[in-house]
Amino acid sequence: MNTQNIISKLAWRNVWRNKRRTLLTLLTIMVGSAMIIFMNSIAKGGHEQMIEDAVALNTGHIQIHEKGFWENQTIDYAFQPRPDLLKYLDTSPHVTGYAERVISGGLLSFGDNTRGVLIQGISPGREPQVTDLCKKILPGGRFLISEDAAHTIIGKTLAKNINAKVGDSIAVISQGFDGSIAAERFSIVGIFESGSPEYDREMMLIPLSQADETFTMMGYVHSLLVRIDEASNSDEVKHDLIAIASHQKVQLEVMGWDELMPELIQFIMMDDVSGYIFIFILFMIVAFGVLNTIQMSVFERTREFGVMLSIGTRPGQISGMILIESVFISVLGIMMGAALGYCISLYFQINPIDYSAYADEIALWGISTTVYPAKITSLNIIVTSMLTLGLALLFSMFPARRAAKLNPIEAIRKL
Amino acid sequence: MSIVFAILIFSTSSLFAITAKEIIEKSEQIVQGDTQISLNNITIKTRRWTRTMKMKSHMDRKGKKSFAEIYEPKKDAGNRFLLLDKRMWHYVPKLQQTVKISPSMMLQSWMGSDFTNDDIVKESSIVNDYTHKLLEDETIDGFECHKVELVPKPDAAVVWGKIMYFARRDDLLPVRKEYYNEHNVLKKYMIFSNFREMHDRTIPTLYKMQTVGKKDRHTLMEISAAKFDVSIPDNVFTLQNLKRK
Repeated sequence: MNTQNIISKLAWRNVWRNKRRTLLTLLTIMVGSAMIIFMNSIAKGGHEQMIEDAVALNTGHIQIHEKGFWENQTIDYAFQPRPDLLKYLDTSPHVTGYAERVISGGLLSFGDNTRGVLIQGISPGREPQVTDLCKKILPGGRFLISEDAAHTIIGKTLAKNINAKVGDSIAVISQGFDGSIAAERFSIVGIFESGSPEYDREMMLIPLSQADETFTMMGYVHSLLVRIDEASNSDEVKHDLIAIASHQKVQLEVMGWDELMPELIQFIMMDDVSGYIFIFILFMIVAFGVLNTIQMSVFERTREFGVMLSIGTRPGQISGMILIESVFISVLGIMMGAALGYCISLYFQINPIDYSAYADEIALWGISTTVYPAKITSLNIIVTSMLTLGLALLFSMFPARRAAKLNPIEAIRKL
Repeated sequence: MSIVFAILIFSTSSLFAITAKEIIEKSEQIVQGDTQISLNNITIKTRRWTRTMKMKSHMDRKGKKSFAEIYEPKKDAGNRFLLLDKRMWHYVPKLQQTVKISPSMMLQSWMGSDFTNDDIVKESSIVNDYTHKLLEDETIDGFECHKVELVPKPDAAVVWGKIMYFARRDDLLPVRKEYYNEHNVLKKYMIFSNFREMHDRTIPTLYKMQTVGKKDRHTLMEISAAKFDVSIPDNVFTLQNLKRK
């Protein structure tokens, strides 16, 4: 029998000599790594959901403007999308929809009430492909249709503030693209509740064709919104669009949702950091759990090691054996942990965590997501398992080395 | 002996020296008069377009009333603005509706220009809402000018942290006005030029308002005709006049 084989066999038997302790250690590793996998998947799923919700609300994954529009937010930063840009959007597999918008600020007047508003001219046919606002109309009203002209839908808070309801006629005064006074009367056909306090308070939507006329846009638009199938693909599409845009004479800016909603990505990053701290703690607990076990088992067998050393076992073989014991325990543990973690995450992928009862508090952060699913990725499971294994082995090296360095005579005398 | 004379002369000359507040008062008085009726051409130049509007305005400085109406171009003709003390209204002929401009909107751009609503109706009083301090004379555009620093009084509802007013030494006509925010950063400035005789006095007839940092845009106001201290009937400054067909 070759030595390596003997060491491994010894290691395996040693692992099961104290069944209870080994099982407890396996449990520690299993639950620990499962928790880490679960935490990662719920964080990832939750964040992706938040991005989806935020993007679907009004922003889209990507927006194209004339360069300077986002910073200045004035009506004169507008452009005409060129055929090559539209062709890319039509044919790209990741793009699920796109829509043009005219955007301007203005003054809304109804009775004695005057309010500053953000007016968005949207395309009733295309907009539902890009945003979900069409689903947020309160009963008694409707979304815009392509036949609409001087019709509008306004936010719930805005309607309340000016005391208007569906059917009322409001006046809007602003400045046109050509500098002239833009003024129009609009009939309210619907009131929306978007979930965002800002939008509900300040936004009114009108048909794009009407906006073109009222604001004398002459075919120019302010923003081209793009919706992507999955948030993770938006960077790729963004780079493609930037490449196309660079061939145009008019300077355009292509902005991803992280630039359009910096507060969202900042929240996600903050959340990630607190997640990392927690996960670090979990890793430490698991690693120390393994260390504790190995340390104990080494201490108990001091005499045994002494005997082994005195009959000729090399110190390297002693520490090797101890490490292999650690490997056996850890590998079993992470396998069970991966399975458990996968199952828990799968459950929450199908039954997302529902915070609907806390919607108001969540809204304080500017987030409207109340339903958090988990997202399982093989990367998550593999990395977590490997890290657990690696840390367990690392920590086990200390007792292993100490065992190897034992003086046989002292060791035998010890216990 | 000559030293005594010199001291006497200097001390008496300080008796005749003009105070900062007086400079501002007199300057405003000359440029605006107690009442003023004027025809103005306002040219707004932005990144994309240049547009000129013609406006007729009536102003009663003492009574804090003013009324202005755009008569050119046709698209904007008939838009009227009324200011009574601190309240302002805008009548939009296309909607046949009057919009009340709340005090918070007074500082928003008027018609997309570099002037604010406040600037157009000259609502805030730089005589009464500020304290005045005379600084060293400066030469601006070839004119030797008094330089007055205006700092808002604690209870004054004004947005500027500081205004620098440059008035010609000989006739106290303004040459330049600089607007600073509360952090002492220059935000915009107005240049007065084309000094010409209008009715009974010489006034700057070209005002140029420039916002700092926005090199591609500015606003010009040219006074093409003006009459001062003519009595204006009270019914001009009324909502009825604002809404008339």
